[in-house]
Amino acid sequence: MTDKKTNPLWNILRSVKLTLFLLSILAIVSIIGTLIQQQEDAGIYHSIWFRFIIFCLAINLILCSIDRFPATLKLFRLTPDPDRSKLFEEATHRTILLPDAGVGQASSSIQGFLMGRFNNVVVKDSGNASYIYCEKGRFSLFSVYLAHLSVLLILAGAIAGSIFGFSGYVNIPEGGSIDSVVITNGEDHSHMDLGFTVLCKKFLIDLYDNGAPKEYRSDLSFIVNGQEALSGSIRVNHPIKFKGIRFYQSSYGDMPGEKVRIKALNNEKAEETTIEAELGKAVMLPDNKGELTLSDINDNLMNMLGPAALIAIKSQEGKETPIWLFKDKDIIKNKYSDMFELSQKFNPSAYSPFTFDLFEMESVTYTGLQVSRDPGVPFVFAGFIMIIIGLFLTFFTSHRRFWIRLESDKGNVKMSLAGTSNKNPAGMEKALDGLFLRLKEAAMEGKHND
Amino acid sequence: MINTVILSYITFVYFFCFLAYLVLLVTGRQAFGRIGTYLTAAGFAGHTVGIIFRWAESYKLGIGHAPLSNLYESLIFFSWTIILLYLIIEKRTMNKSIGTFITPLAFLSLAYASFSGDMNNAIQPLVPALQSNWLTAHVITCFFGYAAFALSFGMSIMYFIKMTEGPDNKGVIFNLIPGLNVLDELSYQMVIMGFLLLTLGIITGSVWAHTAWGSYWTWDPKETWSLITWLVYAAMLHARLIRGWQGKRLAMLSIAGFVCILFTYFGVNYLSSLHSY
Repeated sequence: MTDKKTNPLWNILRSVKLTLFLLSILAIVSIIGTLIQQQEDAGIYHSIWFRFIIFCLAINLILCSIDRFPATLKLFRLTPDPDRSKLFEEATHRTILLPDAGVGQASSSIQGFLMGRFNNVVVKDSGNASYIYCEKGRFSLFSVYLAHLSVLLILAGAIAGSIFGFSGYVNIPEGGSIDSVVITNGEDHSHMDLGFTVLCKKFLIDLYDNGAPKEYRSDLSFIVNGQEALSGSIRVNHPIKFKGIRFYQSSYGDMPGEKVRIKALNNEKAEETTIEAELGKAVMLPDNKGELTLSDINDNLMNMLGPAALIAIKSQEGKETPIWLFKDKDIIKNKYSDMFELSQKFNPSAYSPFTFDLFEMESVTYTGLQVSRDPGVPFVFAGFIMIIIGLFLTFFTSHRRFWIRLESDKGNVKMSLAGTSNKNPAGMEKALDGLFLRLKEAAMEGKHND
Repeated sequence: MINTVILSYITFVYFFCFLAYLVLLVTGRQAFGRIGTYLTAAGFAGHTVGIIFRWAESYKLGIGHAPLSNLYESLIFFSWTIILLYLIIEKRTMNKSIGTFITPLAFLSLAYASFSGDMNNAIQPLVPALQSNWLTAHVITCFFGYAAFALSFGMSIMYFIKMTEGPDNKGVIFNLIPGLNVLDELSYQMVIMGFLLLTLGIITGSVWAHTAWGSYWTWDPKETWSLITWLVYAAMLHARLIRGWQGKRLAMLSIAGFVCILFTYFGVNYLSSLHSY
């Protein structure tokens, strides 16, 4: 123990100075974080060194608690001597002379009053004096440990969540289904298989008169091995849980469907034909001049070129020509004038004698879901409840100890009251005033009953 | 709309409350204190009526919800909590000098709501994410917490004014301001109350976020700033309870904490956030 006490590292780690320092550092780093925060990504808060500060705070909190707990336990187990003369030598006690009273009678009246109202009433009689000890709120000694334990519980829950949980999103077209979601982890986006299929049977939206959404709802069906295991609807604020994974309604929008309409202009004959193409299916070009397959559809190609469709045309000789067609070709032409000539892949006339024009894309409504699993949540929420109880007890309860001294004084009784409290001295003064008044009444009342 | 008209008049009432308390402090004449208290109580009653009218009006429009859903409504509610808490404190401490420092905060909050050029005071329908009882719990706990911190801030300002009193610097304005120890204790009591309520506010927001967005904490700038504020006040409580800090240093921390509150409330709106205010 002596080693521990003189060890400088131990002394720093268990100090409240370190706590104050770490709280300040955490606040400053968080301030910087919000000021430089990138649009959506909270990189700084997931960095190793930010976690290291929190880790240090947790260690500091644990060591502070370990350091102080034995003293608290000792105080908790201790029953003080009812005769505490030293306390009465200080100026803060209250004294009154009860006329025509006996010590024994006054003492028993006061004991009768204290029983049931106070805890651990201890009496010591010695000759012509009687000493009484009583107290309230002994368990309040532990309230601060409860508050701090709750912080550790919340941190533990957060760690459990970040290790064993995940958070991602997925867009499901109405009537369509998915079996994997996109996991976002900072900059990284990766796919994760759910192990089951989620089908969006129906998506409904209800608007206010001003066009703002009032409510939107997805009717989902969870399918395992071809069998529907659960079906239900989700709304904003009303998620659904399946196999430990929670699905939240988070957004909606339009996405390209699987059908497009393309105009094929035969430049030799000046003849225009409209082709309906469906993803993955081959269509013959007019006059059997080749086979067109729609092989890809993109919402916003390269994140700047807008909606686009990739067609692959197979000539009769078997040569394949892939071409990206753009919905917003006029805008693109204005912005990047030579874009369509630059690469054959973007040239709508790359397969002669045709010029292709993407003029219609089928659009379907999708429902945007937030998908997450967080096994730490029960710990975090338990920590929330604990911290409220802990703070409440810490601030509004205190361990109050009272000493009463009754001494015989020429046929009268001199009654004195003193007390100590582990916090809230102003409240303790009021409590002492109140108790003193009631003790006086109790002692006098007992006398009248004789 | 009648409610916005009522509430804009209340702004002036609170300004006159401030003037009455200020004259009381400067002249020491008790009559002004009584005027201040009556005016504040009357203003508070009108303020409450305004809020109830607005609430009722939203139901008439068929989009009924508690008036806590945008910046305008939050400012109205913020000043309401400040005045309510102030009236309780005035009654309990029997000291009216605090009013000089608190009523201007309520006045400024209402003035910003009623007279700022780009303030939208229309009753708007609730978007789906806000249709939750957690919204009410979250906003009420946060703003009562803010109000408690605002009172502590006012008392800390008074602390610094009182500190300038000395044998060479005596004036009638010092007579009504409570003693340094009383101010320190009162301010500390307010911080305890604010801290409990802010904790509750963060927790209710967190639970709400969990049911609405699938994550109880996302480091949204508003969340982060509420945590920063929480850390500042947590540090303050530890400094006082364990290290025995008192008086000037604690008053400075209380002012710093309130600056954090203001940034959490207003400053964060300039950063991208999923909070509507």
